[in-house]
Amino acid sequence: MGIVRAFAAGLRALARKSSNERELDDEVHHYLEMSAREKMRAGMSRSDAERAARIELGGIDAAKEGVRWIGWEATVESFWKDMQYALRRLRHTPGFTLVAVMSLALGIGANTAIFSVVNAALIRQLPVRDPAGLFYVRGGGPSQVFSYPDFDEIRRNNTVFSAMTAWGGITVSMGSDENAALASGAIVTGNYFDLLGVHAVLGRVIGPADDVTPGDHPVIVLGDALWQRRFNRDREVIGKELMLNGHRFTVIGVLPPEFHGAEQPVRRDFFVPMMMQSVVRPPRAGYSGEMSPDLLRVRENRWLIALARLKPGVTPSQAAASLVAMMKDQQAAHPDENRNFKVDVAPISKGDPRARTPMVTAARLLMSVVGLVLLIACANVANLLLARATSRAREIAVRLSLGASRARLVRQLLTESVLLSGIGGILGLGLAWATLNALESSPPPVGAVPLAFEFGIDARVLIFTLGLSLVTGVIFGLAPALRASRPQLAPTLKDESFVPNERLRRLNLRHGLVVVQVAVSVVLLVSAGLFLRSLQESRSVNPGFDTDRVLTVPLNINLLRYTTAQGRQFYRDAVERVKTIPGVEAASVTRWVPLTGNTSVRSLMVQGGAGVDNTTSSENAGGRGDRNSTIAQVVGVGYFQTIGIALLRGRDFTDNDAGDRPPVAIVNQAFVTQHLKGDPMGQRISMNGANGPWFEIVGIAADSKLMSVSEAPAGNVYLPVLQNHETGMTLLVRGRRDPALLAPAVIREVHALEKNLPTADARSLARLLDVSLYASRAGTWALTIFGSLALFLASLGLYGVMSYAVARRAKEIGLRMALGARRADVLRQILREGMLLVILGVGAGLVLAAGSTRLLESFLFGVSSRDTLTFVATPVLLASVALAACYFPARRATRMDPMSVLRQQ
Amino acid sequence: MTFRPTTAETAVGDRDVLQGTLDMLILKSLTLAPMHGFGIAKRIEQISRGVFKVNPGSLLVAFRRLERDGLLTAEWQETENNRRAKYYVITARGLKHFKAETKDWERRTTAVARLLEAQ
Repeated sequence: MGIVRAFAAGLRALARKSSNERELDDEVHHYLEMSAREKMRAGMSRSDAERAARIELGGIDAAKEGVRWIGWEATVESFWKDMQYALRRLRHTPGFTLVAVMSLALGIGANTAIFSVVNAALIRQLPVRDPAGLFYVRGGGPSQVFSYPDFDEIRRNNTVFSAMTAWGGITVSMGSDENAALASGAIVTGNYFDLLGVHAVLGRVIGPADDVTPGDHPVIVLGDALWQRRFNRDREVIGKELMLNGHRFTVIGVLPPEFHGAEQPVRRDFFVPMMMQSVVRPPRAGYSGEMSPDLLRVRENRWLIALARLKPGVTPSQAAASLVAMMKDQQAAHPDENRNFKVDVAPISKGDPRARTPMVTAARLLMSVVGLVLLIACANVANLLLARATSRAREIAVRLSLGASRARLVRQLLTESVLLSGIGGILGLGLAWATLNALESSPPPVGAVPLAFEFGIDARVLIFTLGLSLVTGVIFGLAPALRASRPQLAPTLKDESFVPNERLRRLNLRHGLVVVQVAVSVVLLVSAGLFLRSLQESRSVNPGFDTDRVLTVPLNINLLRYTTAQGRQFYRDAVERVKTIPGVEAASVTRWVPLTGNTSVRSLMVQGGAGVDNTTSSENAGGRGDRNSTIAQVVGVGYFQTIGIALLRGRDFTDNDAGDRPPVAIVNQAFVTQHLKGDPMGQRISMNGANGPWFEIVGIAADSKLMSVSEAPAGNVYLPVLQNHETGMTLLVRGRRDPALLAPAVIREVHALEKNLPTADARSLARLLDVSLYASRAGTWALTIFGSLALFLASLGLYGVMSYAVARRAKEIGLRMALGARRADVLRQILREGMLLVILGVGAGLVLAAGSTRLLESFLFGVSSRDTLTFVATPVLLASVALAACYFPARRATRMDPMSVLRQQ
Repeated sequence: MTFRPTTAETAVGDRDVLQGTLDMLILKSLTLAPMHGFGIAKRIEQISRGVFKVNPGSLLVAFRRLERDGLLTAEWQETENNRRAKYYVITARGLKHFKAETKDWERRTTAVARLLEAQ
């Protein structure tokens, strides 16, 4: 039968429902009559014949029911009836409905919110043509990126890719004068957009013709966010000019809003052709300003991320093998640069592992936490449903004995629970939406999270929430439904609800659920407690310098291609000019701002002491202070006064400590303890092996925190910038009052010196530290909120179970009171039974927590994962809340009037 | 007192009986003349000489299904003893379906017979 015909027949049947019913009734009765008449002809009495006919038919109503079930409309109709019935029942018990829906809304809402974030960060596919056909080509060294010559060679000579593109991330100073700001973009090969299948919404994208001759096509394609920010969505933007690092670029196109470059979730705001590399790609730190290595030729300098589409029929592993074989020859030609050349071809969905791994870890943690919260919510509702099922056991028993099938009853009960979870899901979606909106309207400070997400509830999130609601509804509804549809018919029908022996002594399903809830809450609360403790720990530590009076302004002159002499002059001028601003107490420069995660570690030799003859220098290194290396900080004159670190002995650097004068250094107290014997003043140290230069120690500074607030004091050498030029210095300004108020004046002075210098990042030191602690703070708050949510839901569940238990035993309690039991005894007994569950749950939870908090160790800050305070305080807190949840139902029980209770029923 | 079929009889419409058999028997009965439900049941029992005994509940369900599929129509008529009853009439579509099913049935039974005769 065709679907259309079936559909039409169903509609017809629905339309003619009442006349169909009548006809069915007539037909059945006619049949019975004929059948009976025949049996009478065969000699039966009238009543026997009618009875026999009815038995043959198997019951009039059963026969009719069978006929009614033909066709889809019957299923729909019965489902609709179940829904109406369920709605009516939910309306009749508003308290139950409210608690259940609220539990579910909180649980599902938390899951939806976190899933939206994970979806935006990790799951959502690139908005490009055929993302599944895109593969990262990774190789050459630990960072898995290519030099341009290597990339070019692979692109030209490979036999496995139908197309291959590459790009490098860049940060430029965009615009001039007051408008100069840092912008992050990508420098891409000519086929980048073609390979991705991304088109401009305005103008055109970069094409191969833009990428032929170095320096020839100064063109730029804008991302939607940049178009909005700089041009206010001006549709006449094509052909306009934009300054990048002081060079003129022409806008040729604007990209669709969903495209932020090919490395999700990193966000690139603009794109320029590879051949413009010499202008937009600054020489790396470590090269001094006057050198400008041509990155298109340098093989040591690896900076390109490569992406390719495979030829039909080629597998990723075949492609990788072919590339390795191909690069063998190339390796022979450049043995030094390309030792251990490795290459690997991986689907883009696996993402860039460097950005992805920490996010996957965080995502897993958060998803497990909200999953546990939902589990608690489910246990709550299951418990409430079990209680309800017991109270409607009679109704169900009646229906079963009247011939309703068990499957039908289970379906009806499940309809009710899925309806509950559906309502919970809709409210949860609303909660999630509100939460995400709040998050988006107060975004993290710039620099804290390098990624721009559009959370947003897309189809995938909707499906997730819908599926979650359905599954939730079935999970918490199934056990109660199965249980309820299998009552012991005889005692239930006889209404033997007075069962004096029913106690909490045996652990049944409902008690088990409470124990699980309490245990899971303990795990979540302990985790939240540990995070709170570590946050508190990190706050209470004195970093050893002033955070609230210092303004920081990054002076990235390496974007400006100064010579060393120009750069040195620029720093000196900037500091002098800023000092003239009223309200400024002191000013200086430093290579690394403390506690922002960067430092330099250098090798160390002490004259007349131990040391090694090797040279290592690395930025961003985490290692510190063994005997042969030390942290080294390049700072300007007046640094200690500006940031508020005390000079304990000797003198500060002066303008006399210039390049042509004897090299000097200041060390901190920890350095003295770790590396020096005797009087430190006048001793000489080298950062560059036995050949020097040798720095004479002219002062000793107090210890201060450098990498993290929880670190032990580490040895630190300060070197004057005048003798050790670096290009990426940050200006520090000490104000008399709130340093943020000084920012406009400071920026004005800096721009008076160099109008192309971006200064968007001017911030107080306190604010900068907020940024560096932002991720751990956000995580702590999330966990604390979810932990409290878990506690709240578990208490609600416990309260529900205790109330129900007391209500069930009202008669027994009434009887005992009537017989003279003391109120206090009854109270104590009920509390004891409730708290037994709590203690079991807390015990199990502590064991689980002790096992699982070890996974959190890497997130913690100055607190052990077995922190005693947390492990003691959490159960006490939980037990107190649980005690309250038990106490109120118990007190109500003892306040009951024995006579009125006994008279009921 | 039992009205369950004896071993010699087969209850038509029970699930373990060949699917569609009841449909075929109903259609076959109606190729001769329009009939009401009880008449069809009686007819099936008579023609099969009591081998098939019809379960009335299943019969009513089958009527409704065949009606919905457009193989039968029904009309209310006076019976021989002046009662109103629902008479079923086979449609052109139903006739076509019945012929196709018969052919198919014959082909299958022949095949099974051959298999059973084979040495």
